[in-house]
Amino acid sequence: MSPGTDGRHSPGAATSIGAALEHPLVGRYRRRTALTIAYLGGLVAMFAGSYLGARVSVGGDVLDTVSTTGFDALSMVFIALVTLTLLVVPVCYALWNGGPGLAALLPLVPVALGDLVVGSYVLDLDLATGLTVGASAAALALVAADARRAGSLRFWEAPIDDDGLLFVTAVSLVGAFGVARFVAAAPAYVYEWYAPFGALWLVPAVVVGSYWLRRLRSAWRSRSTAAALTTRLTGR
Amino acid sequence: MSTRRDFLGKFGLAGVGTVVGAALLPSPPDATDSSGTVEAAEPPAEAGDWVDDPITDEDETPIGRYHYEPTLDGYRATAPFNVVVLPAAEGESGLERIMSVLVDEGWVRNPEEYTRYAWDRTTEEYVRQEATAAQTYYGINGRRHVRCWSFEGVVSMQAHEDTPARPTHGVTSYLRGRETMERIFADEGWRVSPRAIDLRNETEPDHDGLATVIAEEP
Repeated sequence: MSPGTDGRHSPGAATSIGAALEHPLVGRYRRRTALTIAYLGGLVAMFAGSYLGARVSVGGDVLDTVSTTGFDALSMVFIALVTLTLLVVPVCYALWNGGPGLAALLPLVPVALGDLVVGSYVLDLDLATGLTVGASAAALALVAADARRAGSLRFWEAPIDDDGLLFVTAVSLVGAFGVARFVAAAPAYVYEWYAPFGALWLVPAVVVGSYWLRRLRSAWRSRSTAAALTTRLTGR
Repeated sequence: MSTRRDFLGKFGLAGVGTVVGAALLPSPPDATDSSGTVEAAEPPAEAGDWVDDPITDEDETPIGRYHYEPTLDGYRATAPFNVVVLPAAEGESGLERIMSVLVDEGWVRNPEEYTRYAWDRTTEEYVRQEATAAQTYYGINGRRHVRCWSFEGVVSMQAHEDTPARPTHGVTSYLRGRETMERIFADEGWRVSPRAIDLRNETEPDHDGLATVIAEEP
């Protein structure tokens, strides 16, 4: 590639990556979004380390038999980190950077990675937990982003972002549909393990419900204003 | 806020996205009902020698009593074997038969887990786990989990229930792990003899030292 071509192309690529990082569904502050993506990168690297340690053989010995203590420690730290990523990180991200898309994606990334490498396509407890936390975090992110736009905790003073609301609605419906199927099929003891997380569904239910009420009310109001204006102008 | 036409377009897109997303989600596992008891069968003839007297030495029979983790000066027992499986095929294909039953239950093979070893009396070596499976890859909110080794056609299985990862896993029950195996394999038509072999490996919190024998051939 000639330096000229390089010069023309790279700023374009950089700009589109920059634009993607700044998309309101991803996050509000580019730096914070980039940091979160780097965190996910680190998680993927740990996953790869732990996975390859159990699968790759060197001279007939599986890698993790060379240093079982080392790989066990990696597994331990990795599981702890995945737990945080499933249960805590999405909520923190939502409040900190307000991107419903990335907030919903965060808990699903480690679950999808694991299921992908073992070829499992089953809605199990890990995935049901990820869907629950993901939907709640996405709803929180919508509120957090509005609070930042409003410049105060009165998030309802910011105009509704239709893209965000539609996205969070879709994510919540998909998640709720999956979890409802999971709960209906789960044996009693698995249901008990899931149950404490069921309360989290209050968050998307309240946020999505109240946002739609506001949205419909404002649509109704603008329509009646328009109707009144028409009547006044045309006399009909 | 967008214009009405814009909004309806986006609304339609979100609707399509929702339907596609819901359709792409996997289905929940078709798990065996864990309530009720298993109809106990007499242990098969193959297990005849092992059911009369307690097994207290791993060199006595092909059955392991514990699995181990390596330490700086050797190996340390970490969990008691509580199921002995006699698949119709030996070695790897026997292990594959067992794993296929668990995969049909929606379990995943080779989940995120620690590496453990069992004593092989024929080679006089500690051998890395040969086949493992669990209900979920990470078990963030708890899971049931098994590790298997096949020595001389006999599979020693360690079955347990993991605690939720807060932030690491512990064992909440060996008993529920064993009972889960009894029910799953009985449901598949395998011959199940609960608590038939005394391995004298009682362990906290709830293992009574006995192993269930599960044979593929009725």
